[in-house]
Amino acid sequence: MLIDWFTVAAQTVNFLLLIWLLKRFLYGPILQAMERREARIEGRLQEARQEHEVAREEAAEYQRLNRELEETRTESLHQVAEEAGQHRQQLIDQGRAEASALTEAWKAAVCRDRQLFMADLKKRIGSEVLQIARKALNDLTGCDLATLLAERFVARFAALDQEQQSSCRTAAETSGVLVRSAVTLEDPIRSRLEAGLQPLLGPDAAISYCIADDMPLGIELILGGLKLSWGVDSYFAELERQIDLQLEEVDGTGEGGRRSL
Amino acid sequence: MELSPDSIILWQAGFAKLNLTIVLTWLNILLLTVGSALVTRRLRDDGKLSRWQNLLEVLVSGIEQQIADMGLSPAREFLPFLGTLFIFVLFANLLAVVPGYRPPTGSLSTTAALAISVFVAVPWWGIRRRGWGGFFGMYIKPSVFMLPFNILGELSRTLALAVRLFGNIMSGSMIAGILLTVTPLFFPVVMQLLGLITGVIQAYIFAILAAVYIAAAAKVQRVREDDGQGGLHG
Repeated sequence: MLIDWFTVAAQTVNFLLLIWLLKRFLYGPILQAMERREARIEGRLQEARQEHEVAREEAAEYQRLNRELEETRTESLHQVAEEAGQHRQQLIDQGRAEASALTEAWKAAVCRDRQLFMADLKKRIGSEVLQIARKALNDLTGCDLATLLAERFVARFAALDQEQQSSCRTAAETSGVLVRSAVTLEDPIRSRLEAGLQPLLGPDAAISYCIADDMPLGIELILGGLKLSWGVDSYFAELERQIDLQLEEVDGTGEGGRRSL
Repeated sequence: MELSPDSIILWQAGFAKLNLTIVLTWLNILLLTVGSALVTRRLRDDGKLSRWQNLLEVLVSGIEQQIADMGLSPAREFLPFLGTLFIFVLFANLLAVVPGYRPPTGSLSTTAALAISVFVAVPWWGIRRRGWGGFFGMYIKPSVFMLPFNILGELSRTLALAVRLFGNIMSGSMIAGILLTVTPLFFPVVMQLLGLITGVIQAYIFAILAAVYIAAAAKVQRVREDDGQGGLHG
């Protein structure tokens, strides 16, 4: 008999025993370990997903901040450029104003210097011309220039029409006569001048004298509000005009030269 | 020459006896239990796994996957029974290469015990899943006249299960023994290797057939019922 029923029963029990033992020592621990590992892996995956999500959000936040920074930077650059342009324009305007003020001041100074120079020139030329003329006239003819000038002035005064002479007489009687001259008039000259004027202005006319520094050559008679002048002012005016023309030509040439540069 | 290790009796007291089959089965149980306990004592669920833990995890998860593929769900409910069937038969067959070892599966008593276990397990899960009526109603379908044929089929497949494993393992041992007397060199080694392959295949076949029978009782019946409902609706 190939089948021994006692052995069958014993093997059945043995098999059931083996089921219990393997369930206790093999399947249970192994499956639990696998479950724990799967749970840990799932946990790590979940953690990785969360970290990935956090990283993605941080990346989005960073990109947003970067974009905002870029926009702010561009806006700031525009603003700074605009402010710089305005400031530059202000500086240019200020510089132009200052340059214009300096130019005006310089022109005024030049004009003032020119006037001073012209006045000084006029005085010097008058003085030199007067000395030369006086010396030349005295050397060549033996005549005194002041005397001749006074005589000529009296003659011219006498040549005035009646109405003008009447006005002068009235003014002389009211406020006196002031004789201004470039040089001191000697007594003989004064006598001859008074002798020539008194018949015309009246014997009571008080005649006083003074030296005019601004007058290069000539005699000037001031009768209250009237003034009679006999001198070289017109010549000096023409000389001054000619010098101004020469200076303007020189300035024009200089400015043109600067422009060509 | 003995056909079965049952005939080698080590101790006997009346009906009770201690033959080589039982002793070798205890040896198998001892080796499997101690080996499993040693491996699972230091299980790690993180970092690097030991080779033995890896092997056992592959073995257990592979069996679980095979059970799931058979349609048995949840697979862990069937794992202890079907997994132990496979591991026990496989371990017994593999140890056949050890000189002097007589595999317990070469004993018809052992294979009969395993087949009877399957025979009991089928209605056990069938009734748990389908209820008494649902399970036993299967035997009278499609007609009540099929009842004797179904019962006969149930018995015959159990017998076939036992005899198939016994025949294959016993024949392997017998052929090896016969060849040792005819050509003592080289050729028996080849036959032993062939016997290893046969042992693995038989362990797989035994476990798979048991799974199929249990699945047929617990699941296939449901398909039949679904077909019946479809017919009613039609």
